[in-house]
Amino acid sequence: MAFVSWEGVLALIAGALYGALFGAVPGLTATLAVALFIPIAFFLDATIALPAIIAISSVAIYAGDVGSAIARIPGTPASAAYADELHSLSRSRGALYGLGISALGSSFGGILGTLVLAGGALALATLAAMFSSFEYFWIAVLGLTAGIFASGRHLLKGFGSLLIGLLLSTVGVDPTLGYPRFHFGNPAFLGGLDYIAVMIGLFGFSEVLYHMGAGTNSARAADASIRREALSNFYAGPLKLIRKARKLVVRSSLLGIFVGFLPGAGADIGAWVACSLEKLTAKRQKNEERVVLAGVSSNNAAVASAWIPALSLGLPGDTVTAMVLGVFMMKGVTPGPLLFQEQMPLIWILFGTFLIANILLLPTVGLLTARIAGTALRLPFNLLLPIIAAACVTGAYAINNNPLDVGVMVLMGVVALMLRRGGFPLAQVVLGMVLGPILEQHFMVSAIKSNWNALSFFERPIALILMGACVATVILGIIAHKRRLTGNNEGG
Amino acid sequence: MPYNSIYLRIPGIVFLILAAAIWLGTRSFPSLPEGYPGPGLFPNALAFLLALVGIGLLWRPTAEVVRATHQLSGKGVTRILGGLSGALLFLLINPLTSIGAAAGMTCLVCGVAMRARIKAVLITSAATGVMIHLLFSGLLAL
Repeated sequence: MAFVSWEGVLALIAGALYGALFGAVPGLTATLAVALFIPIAFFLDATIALPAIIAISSVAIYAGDVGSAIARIPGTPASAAYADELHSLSRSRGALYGLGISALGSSFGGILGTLVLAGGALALATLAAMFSSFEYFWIAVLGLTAGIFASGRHLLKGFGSLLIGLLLSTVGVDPTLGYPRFHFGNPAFLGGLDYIAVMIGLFGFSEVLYHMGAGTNSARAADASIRREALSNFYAGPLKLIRKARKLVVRSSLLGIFVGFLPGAGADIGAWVACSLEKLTAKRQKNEERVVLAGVSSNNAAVASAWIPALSLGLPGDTVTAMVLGVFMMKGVTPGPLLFQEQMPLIWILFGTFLIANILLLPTVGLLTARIAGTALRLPFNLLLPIIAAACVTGAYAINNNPLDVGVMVLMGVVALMLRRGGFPLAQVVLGMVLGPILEQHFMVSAIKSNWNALSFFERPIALILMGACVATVILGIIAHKRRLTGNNEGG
Repeated sequence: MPYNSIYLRIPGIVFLILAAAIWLGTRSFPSLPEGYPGPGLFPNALAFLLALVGIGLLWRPTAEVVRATHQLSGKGVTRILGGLSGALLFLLINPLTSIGAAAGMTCLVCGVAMRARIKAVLITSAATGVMIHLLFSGLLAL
């Protein structure tokens, strides 16, 4: 069986180039790139859309480092964790050297993440086949709990975002009696808010409004010296460093895999955790290369591992997988154990494209991206934003040919802008929207099945283990949160 | 607007209003037979939690708002309104013309709002409109 078709390979290459553009331009994120691609993906076969999405997210996360290396402007939030170190390294040893570490480190992290994804997703799906509504309820609770603690410094705001997402998921008919809720008399809302329109609003249009409000006109001029650097600077030097610091690469990748696995966390947090750990445990004062290597291997490992809970349980590991789950739902594909029985070719395509993206695409497109970065960084923002705005409205409209979806998209963009300005995280809104129906449906089914006996939620062994995991997440989350606050206070 | 304590408490107030609105909105929802909670259970639980978060935000407001957007200028608000108008214009124009032309108009209005050079905006908008028309009306046969 062929892992990937020729159309898939073409989609992979096109997705990589598209992801490279979005990642390289500061302010445009991997999530935005995927959000704008989703309406197109909706019309494509899953075997073509999936490779493209994987290539977009993998390459955009790497390309986010280009801005950091050249102009100290992180292209994506995942790059911000080590932007200073990468820029300083690029100034002292050349931008191609810094970007070589980034591309090859990302590649190694991504390969490790993919291997764990292949093994972990299959194992988790086998286990999930034994789950009943009680276990799924606890899984949703676990996902929401982990999502709160992954929200950063202010847990209350993370919780608030999560509640908003859960609230959005209640629009439409309820899963118990089929009673219409919060549809404002409009039959179009009976099926719930269109997931993709909400995503485009939250991550695409809000980004446009944010930059319009801030008046971002253009990125700083790029350093043209990158074109004069030797090719060996991109491959030989970084490979030597990776061989020397292989334990660091493995450790950071495993950290990224773990963080990516947690619902709502993703590559951004993976990079921050790995970089912080490297800075805390570093023996030498000046260890820029190691900090960058830790960050890049961690964030791309997280990109792959975020797919583990998404495929096997239907829980999104990050915003990209949340959007992919939305596409799955709209195409009638149900993530979970059945996916591994009914759609195995699709799963193999996914694993195969992840490997191709990390083994071939990052080292090659990575170099190409670095070479053309100067041009990409000079793109005037005041022309780029209108194009993105047009793509957002077209994308939202194109899903169902429904003008109402454009209205929903615009409204969500405004809500996201206000949330962002108030310091509320957006990923938790998505998490709430995805997990809300799972939580409510399985709670109601379990409650009715057990004649509203609360003890029935604690009777099954796997349900008890999952409940224990929820308690452990809360305890560990509080400890980690307190440590983070203490660290921040000591650091000023 | 300066960051005083009232400004920081706005999210808490919004959460409380939202909680009250949900609670009022679910009062007419039916119950399951034998009086067990039905479609209103989940939204009511959310309303309760939203109220708790609202009280928490009123009690201890936090000011970790992104520094770059610390203060939104009048010009910034105008640009945002321009962006919103561009998006809403799409809804008005799309029924009258093709999706590409409507998207091009959105691009044009947003570009003008961003005060980009008019010649560059016109070229960009035309190119965007043609690309979107080819992609959605041509390739995807929308």
